[in-house]
Amino acid sequence: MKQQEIEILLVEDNENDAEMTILALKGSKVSNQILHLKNGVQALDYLFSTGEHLGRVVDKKPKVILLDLKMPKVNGIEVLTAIKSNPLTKEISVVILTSSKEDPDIKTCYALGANSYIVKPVDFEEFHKAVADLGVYWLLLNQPPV
Amino acid sequence: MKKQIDEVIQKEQQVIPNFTDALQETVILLVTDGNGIIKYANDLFCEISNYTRDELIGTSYPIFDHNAHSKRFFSTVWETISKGKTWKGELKNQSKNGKTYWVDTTAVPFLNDSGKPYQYIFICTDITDRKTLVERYDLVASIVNYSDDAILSKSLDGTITSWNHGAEKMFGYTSAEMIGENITKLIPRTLIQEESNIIGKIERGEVVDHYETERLRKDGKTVQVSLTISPIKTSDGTIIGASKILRDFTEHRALKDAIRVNDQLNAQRELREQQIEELLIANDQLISQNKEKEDQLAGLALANKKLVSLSSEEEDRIEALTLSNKKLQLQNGEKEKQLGQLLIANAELSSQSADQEKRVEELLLANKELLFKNDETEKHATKLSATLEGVTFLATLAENIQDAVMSSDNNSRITHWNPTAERMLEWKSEEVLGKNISELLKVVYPNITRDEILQAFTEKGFWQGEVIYHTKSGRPVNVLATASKLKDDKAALVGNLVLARDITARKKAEDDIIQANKRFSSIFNFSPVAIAITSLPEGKFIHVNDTFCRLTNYKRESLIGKKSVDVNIIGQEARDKLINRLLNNGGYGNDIEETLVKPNGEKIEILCTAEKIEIDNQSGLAFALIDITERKKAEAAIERLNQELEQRVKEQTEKVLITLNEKNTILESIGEAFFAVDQNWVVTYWNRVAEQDLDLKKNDILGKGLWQVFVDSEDSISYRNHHVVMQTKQPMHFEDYYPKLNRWYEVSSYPTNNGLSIFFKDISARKKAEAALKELNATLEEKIMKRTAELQIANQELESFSYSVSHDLRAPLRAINGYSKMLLKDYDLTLDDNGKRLLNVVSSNAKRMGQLIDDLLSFSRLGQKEVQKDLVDMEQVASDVAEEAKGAWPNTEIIIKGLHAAWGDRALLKQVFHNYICNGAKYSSQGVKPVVVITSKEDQGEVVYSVADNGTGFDMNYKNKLFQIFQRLHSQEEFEGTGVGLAIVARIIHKHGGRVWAEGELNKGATFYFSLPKPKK
Repeated sequence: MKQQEIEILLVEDNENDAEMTILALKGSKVSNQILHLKNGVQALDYLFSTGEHLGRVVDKKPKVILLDLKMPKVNGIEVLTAIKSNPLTKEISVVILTSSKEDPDIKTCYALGANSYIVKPVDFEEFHKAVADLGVYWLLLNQPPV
Repeated sequence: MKKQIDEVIQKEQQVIPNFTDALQETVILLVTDGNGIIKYANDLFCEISNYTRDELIGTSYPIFDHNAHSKRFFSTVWETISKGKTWKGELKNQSKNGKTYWVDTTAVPFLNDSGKPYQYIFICTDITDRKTLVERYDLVASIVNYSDDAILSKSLDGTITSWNHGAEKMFGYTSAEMIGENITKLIPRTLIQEESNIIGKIERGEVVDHYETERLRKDGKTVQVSLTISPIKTSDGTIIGASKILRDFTEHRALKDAIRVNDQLNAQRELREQQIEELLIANDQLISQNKEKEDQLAGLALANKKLVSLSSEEEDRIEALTLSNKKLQLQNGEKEKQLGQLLIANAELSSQSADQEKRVEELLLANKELLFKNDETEKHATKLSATLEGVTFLATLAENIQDAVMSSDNNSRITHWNPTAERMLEWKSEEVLGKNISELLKVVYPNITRDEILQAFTEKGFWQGEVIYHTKSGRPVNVLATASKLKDDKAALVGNLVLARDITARKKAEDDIIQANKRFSSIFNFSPVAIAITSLPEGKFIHVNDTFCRLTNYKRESLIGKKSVDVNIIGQEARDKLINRLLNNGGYGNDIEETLVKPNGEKIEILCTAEKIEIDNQSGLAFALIDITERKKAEAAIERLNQELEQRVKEQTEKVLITLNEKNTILESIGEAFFAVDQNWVVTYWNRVAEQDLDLKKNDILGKGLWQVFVDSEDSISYRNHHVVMQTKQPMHFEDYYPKLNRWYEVSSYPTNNGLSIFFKDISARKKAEAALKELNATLEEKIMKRTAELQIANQELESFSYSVSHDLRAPLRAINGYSKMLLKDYDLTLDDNGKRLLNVVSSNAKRMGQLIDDLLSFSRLGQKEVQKDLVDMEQVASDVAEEAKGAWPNTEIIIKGLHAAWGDRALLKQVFHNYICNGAKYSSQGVKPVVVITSKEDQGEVVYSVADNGTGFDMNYKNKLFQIFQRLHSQEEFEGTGVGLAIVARIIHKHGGRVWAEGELNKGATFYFSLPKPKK
């Protein structure tokens, strides 16, 4: 695991949602390395090599971050702000995962520099398809600027 | 001395007895002792002093009037003669009857052995005439000199020979500057021709009378003068020059000014009439045009003010006129006074001339008498020689006498030639004694022939008259000669005696005086002022001048010697009144206005100065007068015009006042307070309401300065705005607060022709209400703000609540649904059919729960969402929705019938159509041929849209529940739904200001309506 490069970082406090997301990504044959972090604090520690991730090589950056907004301690908006305001991390693509398209936070996220959002569909198939499409798109088609 | 006397005695021995006689006839003699007691006085002294010889002998009658000479003079005389020296000089004295006389006196003292005078002889000649003439001349000269009229004389070549004080004043040149200069210096270049015309007239002996022209002053300005020029003639009638009287033209100009002022007044009157007419027209307009009443009323007030000020202007002008008249009168008075004095002087001169003539006559008479009394005189002389120390006395007398004494024998050989004769005729006694007198002395007789003299001399033995002697050097000497016969003791004719007195000086003086008289009589005659002298008390004319004659149209000869009342130039009553007034005023009167009557009965108004004078030993009155008929007429005309004008002004003012009163009644009765000010802020109107509203009585402010009364308002809005209106002439409306009364006013300030008309209303009550309302509003707003804030907080809380609810509720649902699906997928082979069905039920319920939450969220979001309005093509929106619906309900026919455009939020309106159309399709889907029809129509300012279907319909009893949230009329099994759709429609339409309703019948379809306000173009 350690030798492999983490390509998708999933930040989600809900275990069920996380499991279904990972299952959906795997089911669509996205073979990239996925790391699931359970809250915002872990996400920031990982990205900036602090806390429990102290010593991690900062240069190893994920290709995409799937970020849930409603999380205890440090929420998704705060994580997004930290990512997009740091030169080290601001090139990383961030996709917001939200429960509803009516969510007023979506606007805020775009303003902060989020690259996309998907509503977590309750329908498994839909959810599976959305996440799978996303994974393919971001990991295979989209070339981030160097 | 003794030797001299002896010589004289020897020389005069023969002539002495008769010499005395000759002396008696021409010389005044007085002899006193050393103490001045009179010892002898001759007949001539008695005559001149008016005392008898008896009255004089033994008294110390003074030889001169001490009051007429200074004390110093007196002491000089006595000092001289008491030292034994002869004194010569002119003495003034008074006769017994108070008459003044002058004598040329030689006082000779006689000394005793101790050198003290024991006797004085005064040898005198009467020079009163000359002296008086000279005095008169001086007086007249000074009068001329100080006359305000410029009086000057010039020779025929134009050289100025005299220049009086008046001329100095008029022209600015002093007499020193002008005497010897040419008269042309005074004549403007353009008028230089005038002088030769004038000289031509003068040379022909004509008088230039009241010629109006211009002359140049020293300062270069011109002066308007009235010129009177008369020739100056010598005694033989030769014209040697001219005298000029120049009068400043101001007087005439003043009259012209008066007429001009009158014309101006006329013009003003016309102007005013015109103004009044305009005013009346304005008034009429005022009555008809209520709208403009404020401005016009103010204009009226202004015009009225103007009228008043015009009246006062006019008064000023009249006052100025009166003043100028007064001034004129005063000037005239002064001039007349001077001329009066001149007149008196002239009159006295004439009387003096008369006196002189009279005296000559008397002298002749006295001489005649003397002739008759010859014998008596002889006796007297004998007595005298006995009484006096004859020889000595007579010798002294002969030597000291002022007259030349010459005697000749029967062969005309000169026998005596005294020192005076030596001095007078330049021949020494020794040169002439024994020579023929008629060969030696050349005599000219100016007024008489030699034969006539000889005849008189032969007949009377005596002749006296003026002759001209030519002296040794040929110089002519004017003398008064007295020739008489010399007889010896036996009365035998032994020769002739001539006493000759030098009268050259007197002659010259007389000539001068005659010249002066002529000059002044020409001044008298040609004076622009009419002069008349009448006697007192009878009022006979003594003198009148040409101007008087011209003025009254009487000929001089028809006036002189006649009583004024008899001539009827003045009425008896008027004259009595005038005389009384003059006599009660010390014989002087000024500014007397009188009416005189011309011969044809025409009346003339005159202004005169009168003074009581003594003339020819009788009382008289000298009048100097000018014609003021024209002025009077002008004055009367002005007065009449003024009265007319005043009457007119009064009438018009009354008319205006009546109109004004009507207006005033309006102004007084209108509910608004009103006042007016002129451009100087003087309050000209103040109505009753203004009195109440500003708590200030009309009488306390009318005519006063507005800002003087409202001193406390100088920094107010009113002060600033009224000033702006006054400046810009644009009306203003504003509100102002007056702290003193704690009142608010609504003010309208209108400019008028002459200030402002100001209407105002006490709006304190309204202001109070407004203030209360404002306060209320403020608190209300505060409350609303507080409430809004509370609401916002509540909303925010609600929102975050609903957000968390929807977010948190969806996560378990997602898990239920997801995991059921995973179970079904992963355990497909182990689950039986019923197990699969149960899992599907779990999944679908979870899905429905998710739908409910979504609808609820969107419903609650609508409450907060802002409506973004625009013009919306409803036809297009409805078609889009219909397309979508067709996908879900392919069997349903959807018909859209040309929809009106709407003003609203496109997305929200699409939601409305979506809900209505989908509902229609859903509830009609079970029918045979489902149809949904969409229409719109305009109705009373709104557009009503309807969506009708032919589905299941509904019971109208439940129509109120249709639009409530979560209310459903059908079961989930019959028709799917959450019960939120119509609630969302209602909310959207209400937000657009429209209404929603529905009509339906069970199983017969339903029609759902919504209305929107008609879009604004």
